[in-house]
Amino acid sequence: MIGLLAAIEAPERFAAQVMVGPSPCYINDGDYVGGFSRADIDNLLETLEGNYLGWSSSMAPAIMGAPEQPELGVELTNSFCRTDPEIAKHFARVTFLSDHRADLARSKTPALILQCSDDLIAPQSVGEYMQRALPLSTLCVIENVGYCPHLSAPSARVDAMEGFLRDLEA
Amino acid sequence: MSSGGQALPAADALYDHAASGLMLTSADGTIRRANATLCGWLGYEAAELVDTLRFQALLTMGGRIFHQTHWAPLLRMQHSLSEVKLDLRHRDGHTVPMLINARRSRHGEAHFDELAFFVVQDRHQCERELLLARRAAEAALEQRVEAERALQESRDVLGLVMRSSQMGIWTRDLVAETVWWSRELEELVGLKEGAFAGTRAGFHDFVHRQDLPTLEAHGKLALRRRRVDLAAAMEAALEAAAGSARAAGHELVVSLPEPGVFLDADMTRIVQAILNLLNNAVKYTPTAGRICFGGRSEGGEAVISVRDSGIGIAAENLPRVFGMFEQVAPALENAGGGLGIGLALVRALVELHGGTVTAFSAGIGQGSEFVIRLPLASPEATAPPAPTSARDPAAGLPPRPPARPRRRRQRRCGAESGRPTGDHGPRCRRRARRRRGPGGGMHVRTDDDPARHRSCAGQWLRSRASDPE
Repeated sequence: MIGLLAAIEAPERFAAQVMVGPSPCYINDGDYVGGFSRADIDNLLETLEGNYLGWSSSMAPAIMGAPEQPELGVELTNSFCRTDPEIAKHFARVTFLSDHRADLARSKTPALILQCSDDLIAPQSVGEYMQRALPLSTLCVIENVGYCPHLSAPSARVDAMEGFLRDLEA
Repeated sequence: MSSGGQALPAADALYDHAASGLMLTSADGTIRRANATLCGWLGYEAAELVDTLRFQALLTMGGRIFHQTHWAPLLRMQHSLSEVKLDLRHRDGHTVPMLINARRSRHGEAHFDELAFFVVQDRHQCERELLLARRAAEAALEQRVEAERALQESRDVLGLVMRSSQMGIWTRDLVAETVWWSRELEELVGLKEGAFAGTRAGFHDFVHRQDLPTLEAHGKLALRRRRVDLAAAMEAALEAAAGSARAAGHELVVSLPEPGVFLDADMTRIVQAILNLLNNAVKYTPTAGRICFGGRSEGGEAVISVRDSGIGIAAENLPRVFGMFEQVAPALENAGGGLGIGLALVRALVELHGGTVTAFSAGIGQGSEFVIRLPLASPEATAPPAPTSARDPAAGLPPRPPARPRRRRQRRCGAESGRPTGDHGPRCRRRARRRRGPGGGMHVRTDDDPARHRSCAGQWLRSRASDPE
């Protein structure tokens, strides 16, 4: 949503936007199904906090050994896990408690919405809502479990993006 | 190794009844095996889980998000996780805190995740208590930092007043009263919540614990200057004083400045100064009086005037009204618990902003007027000043004495009085030095120069002559 807000502020600087598993609002609100209740988010914050004490060791890759450690593993993981737990918590609070549904209609920049077929965080109904509310948007559903298709299904994601950008140029 | 010819349990039985919960899932989390230990802890039959549910489905919602944002990407990247603490949902709805290790391994073509679980009820309790303790400690620390900051600021206000006023003896109660007043005002203008949101009595207790003699060493009150709309500052003060003015049945005649009169000032302090003048007018005007409150820009200055129909000030007392603890007759009888700090504070605050405050009165029973003059914000940042003809004639301000001749007169006096002529001990000189404002000068009004005042001015000038600048 940060990119969306930037594109609304300065549309001349953006040719297009690619959104990976976006959600304008995570909390259910009346007819809108964001997927979560406020209590769920509080529970997430608790979980983050619960893993605070053992944060460094639980996330360090060397403890159990990794039989097929990919070469990118160590570096990526370390940077991923070095996130200060306080900042991670703050980030989670800001992310999950924000509501940008009203901003969607203000976008004038073509957008590709990449949605995973099985994404707990951004369920498919949210992707469909996004496509309805966001002008000039295309919805593309990737067969994937989870929220990180760029990690787990990179080629499908690249294909979708290349198709979108080709159409844009045409 | 066997013992007494007894056979060891079969591997499957060992797996099923291991001392930890064990689970095998596909890479997407679908449960492929779950041992009896784990099933027992969670209240499920294995058949209800295997090939039916995903591991994520057993988590709380927060845990599921965590699984998706942390667990799954990490497992993908580094193929192992350890000591992750998650709550698992028992079949009957309650949660069971567990510590989980996980490893991703390949069997033939497929990836599987092997998970080992331990119930950590006690550790869970312990962690909760640790977290609560941490939160309490963080909150206490935050409170302390805020209190320190507020205390420092209060010291600065006090020090400023003490240094720039002719001071008698401070008592702890007077200090407490002044600080309380200043904190209360900050809340009033909504800039921040006071750190000392206690009772007045509690606040006195607090000040009594402070080291009073060190307070005077402070006095560098840092102004938080910003662009302040004079009208807004006046309105804030008016809002704060209006209630008591109404209660006393006074008529308030307000003439706010034309738009575009800006100061480069600390909003809180300016409101504080104006409000003090208004409160004085309310207090020293008999019931059903008249208070005129006006503001305007004049000759590059902002002029704020508070005029009342009150008890007035005798000519011989006019020069003393800005002194510390000066309550002159007949105000003494009307003080209503006041301490005589207010006007000294007003002067200190106004001078800190490079302005002046002046008192006028035609005498006892003739009402009085206090006029604050402050420099306007720099011209490039301000709208063109309105022509002076826009001045409200109703304000009827007395003409301001020209600044240059006054300064010249002070200088001349200083040159003449090279040495002390009377018996002024070190205490006197110290007091006189204190009276100098932060700008290094003090406005000695010689308009109504009574003998006593001349003597004070002399002290100040001598102390000034002995301090090379």
